Amino acid sequence: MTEEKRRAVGVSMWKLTWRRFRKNKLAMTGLVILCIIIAIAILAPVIAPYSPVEQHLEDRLQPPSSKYLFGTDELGRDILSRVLYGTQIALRVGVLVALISAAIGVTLGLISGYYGGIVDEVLMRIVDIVWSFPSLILALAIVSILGPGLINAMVAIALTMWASYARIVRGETLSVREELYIEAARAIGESDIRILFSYILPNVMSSILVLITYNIPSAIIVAASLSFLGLGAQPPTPDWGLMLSTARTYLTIAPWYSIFPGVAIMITVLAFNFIGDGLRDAIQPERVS
Amino acid sequence: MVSRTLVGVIAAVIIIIAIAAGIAGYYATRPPATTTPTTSPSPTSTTPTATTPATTTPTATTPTATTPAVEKVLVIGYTRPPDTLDPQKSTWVDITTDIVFARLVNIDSEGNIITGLAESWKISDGGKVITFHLRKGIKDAFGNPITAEDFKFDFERFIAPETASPSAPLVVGTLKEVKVIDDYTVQFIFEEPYGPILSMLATMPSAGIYSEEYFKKVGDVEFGTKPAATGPYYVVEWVRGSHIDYAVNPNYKREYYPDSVIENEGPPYIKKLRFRIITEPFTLVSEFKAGNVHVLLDVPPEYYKELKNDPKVTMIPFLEYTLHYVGFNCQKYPFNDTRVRQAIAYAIDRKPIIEAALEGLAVPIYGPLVPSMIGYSEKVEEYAKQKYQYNLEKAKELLAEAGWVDRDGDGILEDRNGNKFEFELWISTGELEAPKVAQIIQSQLAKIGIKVKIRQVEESAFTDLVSKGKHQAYLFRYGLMDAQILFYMFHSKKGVKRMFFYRSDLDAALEKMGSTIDPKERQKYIEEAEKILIDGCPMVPLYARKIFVAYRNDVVEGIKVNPYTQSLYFNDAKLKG
Repeated sequence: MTEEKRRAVGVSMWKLTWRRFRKNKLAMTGLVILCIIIAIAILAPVIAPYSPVEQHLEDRLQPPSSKYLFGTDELGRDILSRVLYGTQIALRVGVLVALISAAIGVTLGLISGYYGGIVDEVLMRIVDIVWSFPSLILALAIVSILGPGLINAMVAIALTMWASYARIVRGETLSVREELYIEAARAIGESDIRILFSYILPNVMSSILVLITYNIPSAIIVAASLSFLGLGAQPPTPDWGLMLSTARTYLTIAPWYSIFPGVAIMITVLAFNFIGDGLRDAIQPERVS
Repeated sequence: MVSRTLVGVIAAVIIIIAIAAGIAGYYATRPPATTTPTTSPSPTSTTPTATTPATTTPTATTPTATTPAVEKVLVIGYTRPPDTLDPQKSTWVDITTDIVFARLVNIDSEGNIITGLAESWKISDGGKVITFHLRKGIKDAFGNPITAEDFKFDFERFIAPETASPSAPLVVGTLKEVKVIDDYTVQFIFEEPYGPILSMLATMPSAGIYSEEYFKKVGDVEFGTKPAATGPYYVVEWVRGSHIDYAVNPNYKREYYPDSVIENEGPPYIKKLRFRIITEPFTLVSEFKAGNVHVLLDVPPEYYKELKNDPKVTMIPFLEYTLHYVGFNCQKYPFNDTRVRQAIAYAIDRKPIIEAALEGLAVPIYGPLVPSMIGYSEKVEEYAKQKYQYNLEKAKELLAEAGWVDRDGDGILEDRNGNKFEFELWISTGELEAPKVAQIIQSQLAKIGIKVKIRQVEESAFTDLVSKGKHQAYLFRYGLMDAQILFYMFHSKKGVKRMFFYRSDLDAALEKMGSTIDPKERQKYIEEAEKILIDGCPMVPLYARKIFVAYRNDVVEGIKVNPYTQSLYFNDAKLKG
């Protein structure tokens, strides 16, 4: 669909995006899965058969059975309950990290693109530096300074991920600021802050949204990796990465212990990535070849 | 952007593949009879998941097809990458250097001090002088003769400030001079008598003897990578992160370590040893099951049952001389109150810890020493055991006395100012069972209203942070053959900083223990120090592990273990086939 057609039909951009998105089967599958995951996260205390930290020392490393659907771990905790509660942690980590890094990156990107000059130069070099590090390695370095723990891990990951927002938002700001309506806003004496956040931000919002949906799964993966290395969530938190880390010791004795948290991570990450792809194609149809 | 997505998807796929490979390895009990497994004996490469029967025989991967050791090398699995192989400079000494260096004296399988490179010795001047009469005709692996001058050189290098040996103060105490009387007599002269001197000289590889000539020829650096000396083997090559290769010392004689259980009069039969460095215990065990590693020095408790039932595996048990304990920072609130520390000692039940976290392969310990340490006394252990029997009521009473009561009914205790009883328990990432033990303690202390937060700290940072007193409480271990460990752990000035439990009567007892050579008199001071530690409760002793050395009896036979020194004897071992 072309720009002209959209104007002619007279529907809003978001409505149009939704229409295109709906046609994408993979994206819709992702959305349905995500809804289920969110429901699980909210309902975990209701649907989990046991407390995620309750130990049944006499039932250690039990294979899946009717009593423990996903089996038990090395301290006799119900793996099903832990995987269900783990949803809360994974979603919280993913969404919070994406929002924090978006807040940092978008603000810096807007400033950089709008003011240009030396400000732009300095900010973009910082972005280059952050961008050049693999995010896991940089997050590892930051966590080892801050100390281990889930909150510190989230801060560390956010600090590695803002650069992509800054770069994209800057690029879009560069073109948007040349538009006539920005000139008009300046002419009627709007403040810079108002121009940035009321005029430019809404115009770059769609790219940010796509970026966020891609960022959430990366954040979940990096957080799980940090937990896997003992730097993220601390025991007995029912974190999927931490569960995998412990489970690898029992890979031959209790394979189910690794399977369930591993599959949980995979499903969640895939759901977000499907949505991200669908959203990108729907918002920027010109990029689809 | 796309690359980020890809990373996510790839990571997820890798996890799944890893898991699938694990399952395949688990269920593929044997390779299909028709196809000969083409090379790669790694367990993840076994594929036939389709034909897996549900009957699980966990004896797993029979390595019948993989031919063991074509070039006749005994492969030993080893989990700890060494810093240097020069024991005088290393912070960690173990079997990798133990088999390279023979020592002045030894400890036999019954725990007695016996001869070694020294034929006899005499203690005089109240313990300030020890005269050693050496064996004649000692040669190192390259035939360099070893005489009194070499002993002098070795020990003077050991105590020299420029060597900065981490173990010297512990091994030789206040040794100040080594005098050569004649070619076969040396005299050790001490500033103060050193109580555990003989057991230290007998067990620490850093007290091992090497040729001055060889050392000067290869130099300081190469000696740290390719040590060759008087022990049954010497190092040929060390590839960091991969393996250490040893060759037999052709000049080795049984009289250098005349333990009655050793039969072989000459050098060991097995000509080549390889220590393969595999830090991941799971990988190590699967390599062992696949037949690529022949000896496991410490079977992870999780795999004990599986390996015990394997007819191809022989296990040798012994009790480690290491105490695992919960240590408090006795200078920091709330653990500066003895009653609070004692309350926690009452509230920890060792039985479920040992059953669940260690598969029952440990003995509970209540006092500061474990049975395999010199100086351990059953009487003192019994005293501690009676004093700190698991008792939740007593724990609550003591806490209430110290002002800790649940004031707002949330199940967590508060002090008089309303602060909640919440503390961080640090564990080291280097200890496999620590997270399990810590989580059990966490749930046990929750029963008396104490909230524990667990924090994993990387092992090298762990001791550093703890010695700076940054902790509230931690879970760790200490170990040495001798009760001298108490001096090392608890002396206010000369010890390491861990629990910050300082008392003048404890210092006095420890100093006397350190400077008394007569075993009976020394025992008195050891027990005195132990009692102060039990009553003052700077720590809660938990357990000592039962260690199992395992070897593949289809590859090798005749490996022996000295239960006291926990040294492995390869002298009588032979490769099969």
